[in-house]
Amino acid sequence: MAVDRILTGVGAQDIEAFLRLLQKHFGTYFTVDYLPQKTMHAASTRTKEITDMPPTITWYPFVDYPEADSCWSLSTGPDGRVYAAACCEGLPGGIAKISRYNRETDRLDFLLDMGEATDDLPESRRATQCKIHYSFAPSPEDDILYMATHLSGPPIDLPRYSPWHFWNDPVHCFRGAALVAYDTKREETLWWDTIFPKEGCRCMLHDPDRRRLYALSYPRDHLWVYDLKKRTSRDLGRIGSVNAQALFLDGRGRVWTSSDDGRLVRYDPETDRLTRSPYILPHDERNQTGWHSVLYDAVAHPVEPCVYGVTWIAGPRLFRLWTDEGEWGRLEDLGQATQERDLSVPMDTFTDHAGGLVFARDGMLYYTASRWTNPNARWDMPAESGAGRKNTRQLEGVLRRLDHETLEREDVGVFERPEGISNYMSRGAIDSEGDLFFGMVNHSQKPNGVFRVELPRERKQGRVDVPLRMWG
Amino acid sequence: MATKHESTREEATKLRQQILHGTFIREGLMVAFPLCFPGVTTMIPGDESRVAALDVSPSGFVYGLTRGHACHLFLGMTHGATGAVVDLGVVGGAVDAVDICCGTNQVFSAVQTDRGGCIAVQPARAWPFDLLQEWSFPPKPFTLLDPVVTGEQIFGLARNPERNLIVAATENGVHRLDPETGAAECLGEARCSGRPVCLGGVFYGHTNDGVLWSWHPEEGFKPEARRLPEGDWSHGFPVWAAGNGVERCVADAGGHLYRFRENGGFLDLGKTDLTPVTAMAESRDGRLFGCCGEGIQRFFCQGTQGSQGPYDIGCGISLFQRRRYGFRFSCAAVGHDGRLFFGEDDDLGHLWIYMPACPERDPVA
Repeated sequence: MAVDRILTGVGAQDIEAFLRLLQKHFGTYFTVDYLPQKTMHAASTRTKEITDMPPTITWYPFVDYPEADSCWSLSTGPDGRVYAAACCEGLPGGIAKISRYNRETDRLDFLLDMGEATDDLPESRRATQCKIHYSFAPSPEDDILYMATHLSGPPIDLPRYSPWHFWNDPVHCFRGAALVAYDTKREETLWWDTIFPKEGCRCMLHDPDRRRLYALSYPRDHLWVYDLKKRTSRDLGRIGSVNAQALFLDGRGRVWTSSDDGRLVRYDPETDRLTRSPYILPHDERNQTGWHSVLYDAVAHPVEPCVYGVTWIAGPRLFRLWTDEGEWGRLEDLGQATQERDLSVPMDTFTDHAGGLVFARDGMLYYTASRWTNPNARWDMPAESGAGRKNTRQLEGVLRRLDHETLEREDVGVFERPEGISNYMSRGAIDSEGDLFFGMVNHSQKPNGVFRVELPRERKQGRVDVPLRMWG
Repeated sequence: MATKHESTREEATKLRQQILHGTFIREGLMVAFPLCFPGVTTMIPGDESRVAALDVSPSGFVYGLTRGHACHLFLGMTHGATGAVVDLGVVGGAVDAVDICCGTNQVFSAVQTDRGGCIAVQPARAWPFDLLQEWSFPPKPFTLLDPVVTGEQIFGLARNPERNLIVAATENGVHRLDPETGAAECLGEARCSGRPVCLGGVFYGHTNDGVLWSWHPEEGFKPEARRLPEGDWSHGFPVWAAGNGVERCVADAGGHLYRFRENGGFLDLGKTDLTPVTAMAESRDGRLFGCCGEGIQRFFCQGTQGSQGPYDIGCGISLFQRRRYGFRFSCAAVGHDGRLFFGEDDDLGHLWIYMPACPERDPVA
């Protein structure tokens, strides 16, 4: 049923509420196409009825590690299976544990305790190896999954940790980001190293041609390179103050990330220099300057030389970058990934969030975005007493699909779990069977865990070969 | 055996605040100013912008020299109707930036080249028009002079408050520079190490033998004028505080602070918590501010009461102009109205303006 004449000019929130009403009464699944627009208030809308079945979305909590308060990292390993980090940054002495989806048993298997694997136990009183942040990086040549830890969790005897405050503390200072080489075939840790002292690893990338890992350190926001042959680190220089959350590699071996002011930053191994783009990543010019519009997530198109990305700021922006066109590529603003809101409020990036970018075998880009109907919705608000379902703030995470050819977007599902709000997905990945997985973060409503999305058969078994993503 | 943290809610809240916020600068205000004219120019490229040296001109402008992939001279204007840092150009031929000195009409940059330590001269800038309205900065050429001594490294420059005497220290000698042309004249031989300083019209510098040389236009050059106190004066130390008085603070590699006066010797002020001390500046009321440590440095203050040692005032942070953490600083200068400048020794380095807090006064009886 086409309703575009009726809906044109109506606000996006009203449209979505109306569509849910139609869905309830007519049993038909309606979606709204968002045309790429620079500013949301100028957007027009068009509905489209999708004909295939919605995906099956299944929730896998970290039942074996209920203390885990976040899943910051989720990636496809060199073996085609999906690995997820069960992180614990809110509890003194919390540690990250690595899990993997087991298709035979249809559950998550826990493989590794990062404290034990790297000889850095909480009893040391140091800030703990509490998470893998966006730092899984596979190595298909030798079946190794590299992973590096990040800080933030307090030492066992303190309520909070600040790397500034404890930088010179001989007892509590974080030892440094631990890099682990995990053999996915033999299922054992081959070796570990400290990739840089005192700092955590925000995100990491593997360049298989040069046998290097690249990583961003926190809090000093330096780009580092780790030589896998020599097992040595080198500091390539400081980027800024606000870490980007992603690195990506182009076809020329250049490493891309972003700086505080929203510019892309690129390291070229041929020149051994960091340079900055002349442009700033797309942002909402009504209230933003580009500051803090750093890269949150990035995924390469399976075939074409372009990268899709999303920024880390409330009102996150989707963009597409054709890396081979011109000195700094050709950047396309694909518009805001989430909905309109009151711009006078400093909205938090946990509530207003988009992430989990992943291509499926149907050639489509899938990603997750927050959606809310209550303007006071917060990602971590506890349930009101007596409420059965803990999503009393009408904040939810929506799975969306974007067509690379037409740039049309549609909603394909909603993430739901009994324990609470599921709007924040950190990363998405695809396994060897074509299922999509998303890591979920909600510190207040445990346990955290992973969602598996099984697409309809024709999409799951599509003909697009999705290459292994080499960055976290 | 470490025990899990337990405390009351109030205690935990207070401790969390202290850990998170209390670690950043607790006295005064810091502002990180990018090396550009905001909204008008691009910044000096990230890997060419580690600030190596600062000095303040008669107008109160701050000139700086950067190091990295290239050495830039920049001009910072932070009072009147200005508010800009202007890139005055790359010092061609420089492989490292060493020091900077503002004469009355010229700006002298000491740089290391393949041929030895050289002086690059550029005319000083006049006041611009109101930079909120219009601007014009015509380029002015650098004149890169021949090496002060061919093949010799240059360690630094110093000037007197009147700016008519400028001295350069090289590996094996001390030289006087013409205040208009920068041409060098040798004053004497000394195995120099580190930057020289001028106190009350007398120039001092450090030698590899652990002594201070001195030069005064009337008393002449003395290769061994004073002996430094016991301490670690290696690896580029002593570090002298920026200032304008007849006394000056100095730090050794072990973080020991002394106040030096020509007729009073060295007064022991105590020791910083962290080393090395990399930059210091003295405010108009005699307080000393500096930074120390590695990786993430911390600022300290040495009050005017000699008995109180230096105390920690926190890590550098800027909340205005640029929201930025300050991790490393290499140089400092004293502004015209009590503000201090610190040069950030980092990629995409900024010019940090520090306005010290007002010192507490005893209540009027």
